Amino acid sequence: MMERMLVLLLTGVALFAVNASRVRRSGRRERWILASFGVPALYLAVMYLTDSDWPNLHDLANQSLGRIAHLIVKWLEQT
Amino acid sequence: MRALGKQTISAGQLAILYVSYMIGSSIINIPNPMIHFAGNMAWLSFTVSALMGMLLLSLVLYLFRCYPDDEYTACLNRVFGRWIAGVFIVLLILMLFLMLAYIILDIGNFFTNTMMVETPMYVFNTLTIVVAAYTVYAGIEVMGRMFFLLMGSMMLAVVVIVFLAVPLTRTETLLPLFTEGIKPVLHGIYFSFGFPFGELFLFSVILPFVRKDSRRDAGKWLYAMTALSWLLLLTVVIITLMTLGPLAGDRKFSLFAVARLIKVGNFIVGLEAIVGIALIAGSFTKATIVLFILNYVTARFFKLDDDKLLLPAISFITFLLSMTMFRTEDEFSFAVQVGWPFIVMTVGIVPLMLAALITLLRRNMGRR
Repeated sequence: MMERMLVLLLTGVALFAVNASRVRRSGRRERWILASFGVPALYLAVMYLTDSDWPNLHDLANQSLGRIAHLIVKWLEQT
Repeated sequence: MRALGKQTISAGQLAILYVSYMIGSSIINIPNPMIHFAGNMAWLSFTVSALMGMLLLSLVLYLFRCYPDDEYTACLNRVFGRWIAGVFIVLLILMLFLMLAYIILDIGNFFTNTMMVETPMYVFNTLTIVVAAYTVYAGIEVMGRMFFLLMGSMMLAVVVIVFLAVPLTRTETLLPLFTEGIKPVLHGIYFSFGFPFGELFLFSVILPFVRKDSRRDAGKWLYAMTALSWLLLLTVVIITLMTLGPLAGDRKFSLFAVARLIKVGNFIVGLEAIVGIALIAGSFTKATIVLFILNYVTARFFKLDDDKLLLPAISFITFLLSMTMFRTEDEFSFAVQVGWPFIVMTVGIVPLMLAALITLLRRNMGRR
């Protein structure tokens, strides 16, 4: 857990440090949009930290289009 | 937002970006599944996919000719109206998140499977996404210039492996043909059209960045680079098949496996280390281009004044996706080989085809 926390912290600092001045210059609407990206980021960060198997973007794709894709590939694999 | 006119590239730089994008991660990932699905007929599947890719490219260029000053999202808005276009763009953004996470994860998988098996994957994923984000900060012009060197080194490494692998090849491994009928060929087409040829539709987002005086040549460059990508990838598929034989379909990162076999005299061995780095440079260029497109499409969707504001958040989410999406490598392979081609076709290509069709009909009706 500590290792994962450190990874998140370092990655976050490396990515967001250069953006601080941009955020300060941005308007209220931009800040709200930026904050809305915090929701999926937080969800995924908790998922990563706790090593949980919660639903993910891949599951969304797999349960929707992935099912049809699976049928197509199954048909293609039948000899 | 900074005007498009301030960030421009020449048709030659567009060609460099395009070939980096097309060959980037596919040169290392294509041979193994293609041979696994289509066997000795992989070359035919791949050629058919390339031709379908050319057709798709003609649609991309047609839309660009019809709406030369609109970026892709504006073009969709104009054709479908705000709401329908909004749905298509949200799906496109989700698809791009998935695509970028797959590429980042693939780089991590490559290193932890081949060259640095003891190192945790987050090291590679973090470094890739951070460097890609800083490259996108530098802008598309810098990417166009920088990728020339990276692609040059990668292509040189591939050409060297191909030449050095020739003495190891056996032509009999290319036969027999059509042993299991047409379905394996169709399977190969399904996979290779989704990855990489179908993905070329994303260059609709990059095309408006080409300088106006250079636009006339853009189409010719893109067709030429599609043919070059086909030739290079096909050569790699055939060399892999001829070197590893039936095993080629089961060996992961088979081009790297071919490089491992190369031995010149008794003193040039271990070429795979240099080759591996060059190959991964290709995946990095593709990741950067996809991150640029994802960031740009998202910024335009939200109509932001600063097009780089969301870049760190997008990069951070992608990093987290790459770390949390899959428990095993088999799940990842399944997602890329089964689900991904269909996602590209439905979320990416269908809206583009519809947009081209509606534009064509409107123009014809307008003429009457």
